[in-house]
Amino acid sequence: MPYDDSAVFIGKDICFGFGPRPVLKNLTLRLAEGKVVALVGSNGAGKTTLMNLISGFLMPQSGQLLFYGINYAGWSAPRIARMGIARSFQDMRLCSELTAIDHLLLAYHKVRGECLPFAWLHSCWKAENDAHTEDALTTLNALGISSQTARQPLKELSYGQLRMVGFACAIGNAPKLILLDEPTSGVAKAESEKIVEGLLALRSAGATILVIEHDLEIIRKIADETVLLEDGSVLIQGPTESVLDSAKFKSTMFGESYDGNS
Amino acid sequence: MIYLLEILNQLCIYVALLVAMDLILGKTGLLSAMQASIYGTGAYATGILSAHLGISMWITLPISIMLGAVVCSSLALISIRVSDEALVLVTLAFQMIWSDLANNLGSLTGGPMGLRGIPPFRLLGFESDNPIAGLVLSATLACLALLVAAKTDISPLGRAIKAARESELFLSSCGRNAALMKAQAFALAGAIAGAAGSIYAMHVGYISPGSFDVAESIRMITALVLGGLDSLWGPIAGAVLLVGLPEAVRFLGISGSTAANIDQMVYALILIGLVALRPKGLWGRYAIR
Repeated sequence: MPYDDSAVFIGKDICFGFGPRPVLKNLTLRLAEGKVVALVGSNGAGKTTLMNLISGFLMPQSGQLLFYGINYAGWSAPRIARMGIARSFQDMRLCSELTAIDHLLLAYHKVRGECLPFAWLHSCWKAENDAHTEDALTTLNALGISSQTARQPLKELSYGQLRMVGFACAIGNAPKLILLDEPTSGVAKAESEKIVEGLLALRSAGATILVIEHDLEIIRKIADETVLLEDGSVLIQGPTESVLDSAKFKSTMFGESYDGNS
Repeated sequence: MIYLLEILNQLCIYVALLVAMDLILGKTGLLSAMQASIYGTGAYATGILSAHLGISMWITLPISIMLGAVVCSSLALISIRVSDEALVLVTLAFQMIWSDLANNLGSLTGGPMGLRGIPPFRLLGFESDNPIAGLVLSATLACLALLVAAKTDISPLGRAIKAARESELFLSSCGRNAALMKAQAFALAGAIAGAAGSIYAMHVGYISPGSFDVAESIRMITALVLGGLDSLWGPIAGAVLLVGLPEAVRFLGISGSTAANIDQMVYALILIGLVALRPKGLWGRYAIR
C-alpha cells in the first residue's frame, strides 16, 4: 500500500503477539484524512491491541506504522501523543484524585510550568493555565459536565461522567488522529447521544478518528468507513453501509447460520 | 530554655525532612527507604569539606543541596524505569551501602566514632551553634521547604506528579514522561534533605553514621504516614510526633533504655491503629495503597 497524501495513518504488515500466541497477523490498514473509521470485530479479534500499537503502548514485532509518511514504529507512547495521536482507554485509566479540569489541562501538551524551577514562577505558566482552564470548561460544558462538577475529584463523579472526561481528554488537544476505545460503553442513552453529537461535530470539523464501537446504530450514524477485524487480520474495509450489510460481516459477527431474519 | 530551643530546632529540621519525604511518598506514591542517607549525604558533604578542607559554608551548603538532588533523582530515575518495587529495593540497598561506607571510610568520615570539628554557619556576627541562631536557621529551612512544597503542589508540575502517581498510562497518553515527573519530585526531596543535613551538621558540629541509618529512614516514613500524606500539615504533625513523643516519655520518669523501647512500641501501635482506622493519617489527603 503506497503512501498517499490523503492518508493520515498507514499500518503495513503489522505483526504482534503475546508470547507464542499471535494476535495481529500481517495486518494492513489505511486511515484517510477527515474520515471517521469504525473498528469492529468479535472479542479477541485484536481491536484494542491494534489501538495500543498505533498509540505506542505496545511495540509491533514487525511491520511499519506510518503517520503522514513517517515510520514511527518503536517510538514511546508520550512521543507519539506529542506527535498528534490521542486516545481514550476502554477502562478509562483516569486519575481519581484529580479533577476533570486537571485532566484536560494535562491533555494540552505545551505547558511550561511542568519543569523546575519554572513551576515556581507563576508568571511563566499562570496566563497559559487560565486560558487552558477556560477552554477545558467550554469542552466539558458542551459534553454536559457542569463547571462545578468539573472542579470535583473524579472519584466523586458517575461512570457516565468519567466516560465523558475520557472522551474530552482524547479530543481536547485537537489531535491529528483520535483513537477511541468503546467511548459509549456502559453509559446511559443521554450521555451516549452527547458523545455521538461530539463525534459528529468532530467529523464536520474534519477530524480523523478510529473508533472501536459495538453499537451498529451508532456506527451507521458516525462512521464513513468500517473495518472488520477477524483473527488478527482485516477481513473487509470499506464504506460503512456496504460493510455492515455484507454477508461476511453478518456471518463473522452473528455466526455462520445468520440468515438476515433472525 | 536552651533545652526548649534545641527541641524546636530538631522539630524544624524534621519538618523539612518530612516535607521532603512527602514529596516522594505523598506526591508520587513511591516508597523510598534511603531518605536518611540523603540527609546524611548533605551532612557529611558539609562536614568533610568544612572540617577537613576548611571550605566556606557558602560553598558547602549549595554542594550539599546539589548532591542530595543529584543522588536522589539519579537513583529514582534508574529504578522507576524498571518498576516501583525496584525503587524500594534500590533505595534500601543504597541506604545499606551508604551506612557501610560512612562506618568504614574512617579517614574521611571518622567511621563509627563520627566526624568532629564541623564549623558553624556564620552570618552577621551570629553562629549557628548558638541555640537561637541555630533555630532561626532551621526554622528558615522548614518554612522554605513548606513554601517550595506548596508552590510545587499548585503548579502544573504538581498536577503532573500527582497524575503520574494515579495513572502513568493516562499521563503517557497526554504526551508526558511519568518517570521524568517523578524524578523531579525526587530531586526536590533530595535538595531539601541535603540542605537539612548541612544545617544539622553546622549546628551540632559533630555527626556520626548512627544518625542517618536505615532505622532513621523508617522512623521518618512512620512519622509521615502518621501525620498524613500529600498535605502540608502532615509533615508538621509527623515531626511533632517524632520529636515530641520521646520527650513526653522522658517526662514520665522512665529510664533511657526503657523509654527508647516504649517509643518504638507507641509508634507501632499508633501506626497500626491509624492504618486500620484512618489510612490517610492525621491530616493526609492520600492513603497508601
